[in-house]
Amino acid sequence: MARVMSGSERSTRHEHPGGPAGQARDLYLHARRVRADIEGLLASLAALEQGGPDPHTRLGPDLDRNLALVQQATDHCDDVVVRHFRIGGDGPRAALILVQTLPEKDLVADAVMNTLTHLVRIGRAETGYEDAIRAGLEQSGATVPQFEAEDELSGLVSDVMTGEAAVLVDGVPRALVFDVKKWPGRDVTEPMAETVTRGPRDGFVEQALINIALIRQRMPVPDLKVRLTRIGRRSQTPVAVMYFQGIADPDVVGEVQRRLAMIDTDIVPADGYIEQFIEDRPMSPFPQMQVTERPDNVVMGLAQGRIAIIVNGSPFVLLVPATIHDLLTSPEDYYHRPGFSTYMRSIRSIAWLLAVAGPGLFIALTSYHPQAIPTDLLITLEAARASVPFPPLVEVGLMMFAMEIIREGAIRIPGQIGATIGIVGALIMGQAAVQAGIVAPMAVIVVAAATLSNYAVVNVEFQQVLRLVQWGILLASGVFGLLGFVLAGLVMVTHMAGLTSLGMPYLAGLVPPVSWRSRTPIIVRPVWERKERIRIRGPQELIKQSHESAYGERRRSRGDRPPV
Amino acid sequence: MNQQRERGLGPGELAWFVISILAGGGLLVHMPDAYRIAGRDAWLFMAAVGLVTAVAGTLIGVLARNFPGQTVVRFAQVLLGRPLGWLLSFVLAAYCLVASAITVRMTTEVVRSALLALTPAWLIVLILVVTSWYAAQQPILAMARMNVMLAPLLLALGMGAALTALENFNPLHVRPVLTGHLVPILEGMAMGTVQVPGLEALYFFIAHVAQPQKAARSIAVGAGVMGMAVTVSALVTVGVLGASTPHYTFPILDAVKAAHLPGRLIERTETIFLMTWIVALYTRYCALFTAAVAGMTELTGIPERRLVSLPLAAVVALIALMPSTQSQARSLATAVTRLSLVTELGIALVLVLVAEWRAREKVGK
Repeated sequence: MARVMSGSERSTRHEHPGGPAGQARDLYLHARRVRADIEGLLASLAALEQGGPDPHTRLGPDLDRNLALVQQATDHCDDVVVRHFRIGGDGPRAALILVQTLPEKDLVADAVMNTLTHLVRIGRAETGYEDAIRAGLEQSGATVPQFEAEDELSGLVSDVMTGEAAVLVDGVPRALVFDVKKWPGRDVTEPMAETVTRGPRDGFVEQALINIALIRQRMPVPDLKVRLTRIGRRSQTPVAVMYFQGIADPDVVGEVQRRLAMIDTDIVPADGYIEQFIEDRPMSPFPQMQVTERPDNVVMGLAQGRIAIIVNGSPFVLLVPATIHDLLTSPEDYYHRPGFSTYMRSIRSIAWLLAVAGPGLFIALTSYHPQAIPTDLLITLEAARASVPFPPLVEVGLMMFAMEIIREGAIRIPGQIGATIGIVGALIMGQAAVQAGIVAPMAVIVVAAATLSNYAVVNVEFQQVLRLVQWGILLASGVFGLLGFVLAGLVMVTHMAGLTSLGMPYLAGLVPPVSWRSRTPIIVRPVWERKERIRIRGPQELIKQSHESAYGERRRSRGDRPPV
Repeated sequence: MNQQRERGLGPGELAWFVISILAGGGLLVHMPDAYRIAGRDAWLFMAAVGLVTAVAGTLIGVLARNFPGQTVVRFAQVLLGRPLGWLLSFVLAAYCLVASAITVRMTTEVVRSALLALTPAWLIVLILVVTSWYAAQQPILAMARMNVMLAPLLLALGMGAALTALENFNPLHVRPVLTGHLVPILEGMAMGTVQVPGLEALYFFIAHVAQPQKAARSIAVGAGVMGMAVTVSALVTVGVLGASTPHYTFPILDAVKAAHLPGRLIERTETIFLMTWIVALYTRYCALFTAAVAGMTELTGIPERRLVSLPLAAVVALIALMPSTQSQARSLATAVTRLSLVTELGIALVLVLVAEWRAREKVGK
């Protein structure tokens, strides 16, 4: 019989908090869940057809049957080992299953096995062995890792594959899974791409848990939330979302989690995959997330209400939302004296303009509008170019191409020698090209200045996009002179104006401007003056500090106007 | 998403936006004709233009305050009834489209006369139209903010470069005579010689203003600043070129060209001035085109702006290529500019009066 909807039901159905878009989104997520269930069932069927165990099989009390199921599921996985022993020495039969990786991990697993072997008086309690073992472990006083029960074959296999140790006991219809995860990894070292002259020297590593710890040790408060999830059907990569509750905009946190939940892919080898899946405009050459390997950078971002995404297997952490200001500033700016930091920021700003526009402007002026060049300089330039057979566009293009090859080659050459060869190569090639009359000295100077300026940009991703844009502006200038130069630059600005990072305008800070109490584009204000968070990020708590400082107190005591 | 993140243009941003859309409008001012009509008083035209533009802007700002979050498409239908309101909005959107095309064509003329003499006009028009089409693909607020970002640069560099022409400035060339009192100025305005259209775009942008109650003041400030800038550049032009002003196609450019600063890092500022001018024209034709696309999209109810923008870009290209010579292009520009007294000032005045009348009627009831 058709059910008639009541008025309240109807209104409830129409009044989705997110509106029609939210309703559609929920429907989509529901459909995805249904699809995942169907895929799970199909996988079970396929496994059964191939003679393998159904991954949804529940474990039984018979140890031999359970071991046979595990063996079937991990067939041809020679790194999965099974060790047999008896609980309490003469108690029920048991088996420890784990993936052999590191000697240290074996030691932990041995500790588990030894503790279980030497448990005394394991009587079969009325509730069964499981409770007895639990009680025994808790009372033994031995250092045993955290453990939990798993009663499904798929869960057991998945846990073992992610590095945990499972203990199956005869007569117990579930496995005890011990957290003995210990994967190979390198120690915390200084970041490679974000070096600073003043500031912390530790950088992220490939293990997500260590990276979380590096952040947590700087913010040991429960308001710093860490939400763990696994992404990648086959890689099961742990991904953590970190944010500050009470500061971060809950809408943005929800949006990040929603986008992560939507990812349906096979493997996630590193953060770059996640970035491309969740950014607003993946086809844009501009990075819409800040990639950093510095924990202090992440901590500053979290305190501003931003969200960190940590992907296991990557020494880089994604910070969202990101604006162009975030990509062009260094955490070091706030460690040095404000005056010096302002000076360095100005230099960096000029450098990135020079990197992106220098070669293009040179081509436009020398090829089309020499009247704009001071006469004396023009005479010198023309005299130097007299023996060069190519037009300026080809000349500069060749040099830039050579520079790209040297740069790429230097990265691939192993060890410290790469950088040396890069410098020597550039010097020799530049000198030889000038002597051979292929290029004029001015072209070498322009290209070298642009390349060095490119390196002055803090963010590596942004450096890369500037290299691309540099070519675009160069070609436009070569074909249409100043018109091409100006229009190419304007198209770039238009594109950047249209970009957003999780809904936040990419150019925020420039347009729309932000309060000088939070930050300013070039001028670095003293830390004690920046008492607000950036309003446009929608922080729940706008004021981050009082403007108290020794200087402010002294001024007030003299009756001066407060500094802020 | 958070409301803060999607907030519209603030009062300061709105003022800069107005500056950005009016900045390139000086190109449509035909100084040679202005000089023929008013002689050395020609630069006074500009002050009058600034005043008229500021008044028109204030009226549009009043509409923004009365109808927050709405474009002319919605409030014109409320005030004048559906058919008339629709028609009026269509006229305004079409005007923005034509004004954009005229600006594209005049930009082409500047480029051909000062930068790329041998490049065919169609190629330059095509490039400009493609760039404006690309700009119109961006969210309307993002496009406005791009203009806001460029406006201070335009004002500083443009005025800086123009002021270098003071080297050859002769105060006697600009001494006011006012032989015909205000008659030549009014005559010039009626002829469309010295109008600066562009504010029509605001009819479609005012829906994206964050504080509508301050819109009138912001627009008036923006228009006033731009009026002053145009007046100063006209003053410099007439002061430098004097009686020979009517003999130049783009007198301001020739005035800047005449400046020569030997031994300095930048000996000639004409290149900087030209670059700034191209940027100003870009912000102007992109804003007008985006307004036209936004208006037509709302009028037709087509959900995708992309579908509307492509045919409109073709229309802009066709209109821009219609005049075969520079003088024909100038005539078309003057004809379009003449209408701006109606579209900028007239329509805004009518809408404000009707809104006022409706409000009083409501109170009476």
